[in-house]
Amino acid sequence: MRTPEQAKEIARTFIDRVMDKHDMGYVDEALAEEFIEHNPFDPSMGNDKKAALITFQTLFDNSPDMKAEIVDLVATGDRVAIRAVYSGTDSGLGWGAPMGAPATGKPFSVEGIDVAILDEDGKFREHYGIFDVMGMLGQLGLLPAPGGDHEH
Amino acid sequence: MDNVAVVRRLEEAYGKKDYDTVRELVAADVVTHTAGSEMLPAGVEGCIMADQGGHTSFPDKKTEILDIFGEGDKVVSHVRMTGTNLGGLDWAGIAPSDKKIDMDWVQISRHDSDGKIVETWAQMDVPKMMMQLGAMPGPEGT
Repeated sequence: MRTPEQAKEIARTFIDRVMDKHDMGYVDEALAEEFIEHNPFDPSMGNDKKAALITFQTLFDNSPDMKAEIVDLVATGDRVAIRAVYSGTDSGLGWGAPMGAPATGKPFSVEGIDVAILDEDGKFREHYGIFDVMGMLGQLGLLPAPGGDHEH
Repeated sequence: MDNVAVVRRLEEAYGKKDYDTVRELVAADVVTHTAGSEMLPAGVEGCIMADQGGHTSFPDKKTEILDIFGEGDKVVSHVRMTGTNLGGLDWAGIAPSDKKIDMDWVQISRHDSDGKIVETWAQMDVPKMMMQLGAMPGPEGT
């Protein structure tokens, strides 16, 4: 059985290779074929490995300088929680692209908590996790006004 | 009681609005790191007000622990909440409606040697809830 420390090492390697180096080949390697996403970024895309690969590519397309800094790790043998600060610039395609807004060029820095459930081979079998999307959109000035009023 | 059992008991207590038990399980001066908690009083009384606000907004509010695990003095929990927005959502300027929400959050809690919760970090899927309430554009709000 894997120790909590070994599970944390898997998380550290993933964050380094994926969030710092944007190594899409490593995402493909680290996720099990039957991977399940419990918090899909865009539910219409589904919750399988294919959708997860597209989601990571979208993050890097929206913010080519996006990176993560681990603040805390909590683990058992088969689960690891990653609390991290995600930062970058709203450049590239930009986070407002789905709303038709051009990239703002503004920086953001928000926290997220993610949990990876690992299979016997140390691959990601399931993931759930949420990062502070409202905080990020607020920092970028992309938040819709309260009550759903539209200014434009 | 191990720390995981404390978090399970706390979630049950919130569900029953049993705030005496909440005060027993959460330190009076608990430090919360959750977006929006700065709008509430500090400590456990702010946590209780947030829960009361949830019951007002969603009178049929139900929560369910989807996953939970602990290591040392920390517990990680993934909680699902469902309810009907019969009370609206004051802080977001959302009027009462019969719209249903089904959202979740991930929380890390830190416990003292007696198991009492002294610090929490939480991320809620607020965008999902806003889309379900029709207050934010998205696949579920259109």
